[in-house]
Amino acid sequence: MLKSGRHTLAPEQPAAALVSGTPTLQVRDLRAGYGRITGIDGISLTVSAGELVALLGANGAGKSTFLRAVSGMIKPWSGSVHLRGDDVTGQRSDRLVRAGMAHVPEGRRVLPTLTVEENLRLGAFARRGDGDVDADLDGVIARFEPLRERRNQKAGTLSGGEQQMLAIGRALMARPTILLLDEPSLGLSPRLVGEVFALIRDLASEGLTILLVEQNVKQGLGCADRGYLLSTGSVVMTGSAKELLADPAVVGSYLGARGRDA
Amino acid sequence: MMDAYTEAVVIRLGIAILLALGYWITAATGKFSFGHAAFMSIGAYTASILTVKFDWSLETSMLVSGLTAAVAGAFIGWIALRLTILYLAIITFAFAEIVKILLDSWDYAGGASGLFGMRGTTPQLLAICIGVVIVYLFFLTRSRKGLSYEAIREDEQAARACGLGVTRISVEAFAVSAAITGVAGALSAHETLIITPAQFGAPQSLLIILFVVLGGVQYFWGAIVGAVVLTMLPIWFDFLEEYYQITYGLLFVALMILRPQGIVGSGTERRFTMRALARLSPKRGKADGDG
Repeated sequence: MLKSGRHTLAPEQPAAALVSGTPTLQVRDLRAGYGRITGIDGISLTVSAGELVALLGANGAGKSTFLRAVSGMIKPWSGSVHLRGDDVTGQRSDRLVRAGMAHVPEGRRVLPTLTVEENLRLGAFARRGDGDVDADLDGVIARFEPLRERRNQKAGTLSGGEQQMLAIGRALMARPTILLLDEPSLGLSPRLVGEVFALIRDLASEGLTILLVEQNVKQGLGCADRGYLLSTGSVVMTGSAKELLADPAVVGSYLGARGRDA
Repeated sequence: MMDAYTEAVVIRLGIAILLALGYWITAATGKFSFGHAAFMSIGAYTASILTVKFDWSLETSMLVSGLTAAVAGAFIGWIALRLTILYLAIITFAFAEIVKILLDSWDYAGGASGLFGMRGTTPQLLAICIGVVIVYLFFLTRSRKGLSYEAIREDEQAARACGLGVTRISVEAFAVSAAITGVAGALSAHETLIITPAQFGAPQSLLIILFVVLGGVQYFWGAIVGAVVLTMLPIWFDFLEEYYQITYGLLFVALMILRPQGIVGSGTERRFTMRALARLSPKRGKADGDG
């Protein structure tokens, strides 16, 4: 079912309703911004358990503002955020991480002076008194090939792609019920973008619920189940990834000659 | 036994070390206070009132003054640490001035002319305090909490994304820092034997900051080095007479250029190499490029 109403305030998607039970993440009519500048103007979005949903749009469309408002980095002006049915609107990020929402921020933000292992351990910080941190640490390190030999190396010495993997690994250490990824392809070479997206696809196939925010529409839709297209702070189109990729309007405005190369 | 002069120097050195270690705890979270002398003042007055007016022992008074300073620190931290670093600087600075003004007009504690009647302190008591703080810091820096301090100092946003309760952790560090500074103030009052509110003004706050900045914030023993150097320099440079202050200033400028990370600590960017010097020359080209 494809809905391409250009006008905003898109209602909840039927596709989500097909999956039974409470959605993992439900955002209703969220508005947020900086000062008087509106960043996002009434975005509604649903991510069901096990889904990989992509939120796509050009620079300045409001993707990062949305993610920051959902993950507690900024306070939303209005609207609501529900995590597995619990209202978590405007809660602090540390509470949200504890509640199961892990966030890989834009630009990776690994801690350069700390070692790879220390970065990963910080990811498990919210899991107070959980004895399995060491086991999870080994698991994450085993999964990310390049990090294995660099366990005691400072994170600042890693390449961009390795830092992205470390940032994702750090978020996994929180044992999240949903993973929010902010522009994982940013500043990476095309080969590394491919590797990072392969990793995201793997995580999704293992059943992890993921909300992916991406500028790279083709890559984003390439691994997502469903997509939301954002423009100037509002959802302009939503549907399954296949439908969106086949839609002439999407191809025209987002996958033009330049978009295809990206 | 030490002679009186050596003992005076040792006690001053010890107080400087205690102040530096106390300040290091908040600096370790990247939160720089510009009014730490206020906590010193609170500690000094609390302990002195207790020993002089109520005849309490110095040990008990010292602990109470640490507690009082911790409460004040938690309060100020809770107000200021949720704001940006600039507000923290302004609020802590203003707080120190307010404490000074209040003490100036508090006749019970001697007002502007000061409080006296304290008996002395001993190097042994000071050594015990420093020992306790060092043991605490030794375990702190190897713990999860120490790691969280470093994360907050390096990148607060990233620390938040990791799920760290940045405000709570910073306020706690600030309160512990204030407590140690309060104890140092208590001991210092029982060394100088007379305290006035003016003693704990901006210059004292600045001196505490310099201990840590000069020594380096990466490791706590950097703060010890900074405190020792800054306390001993005026004594070592005594022979320079009136030129000592300018020498002192020049040394500081040179150090900040060559070792911005402080005496102790590994530089993330610059080291003392010829390349570092070359980079300071005017024709730098794209020196700051792909680092």
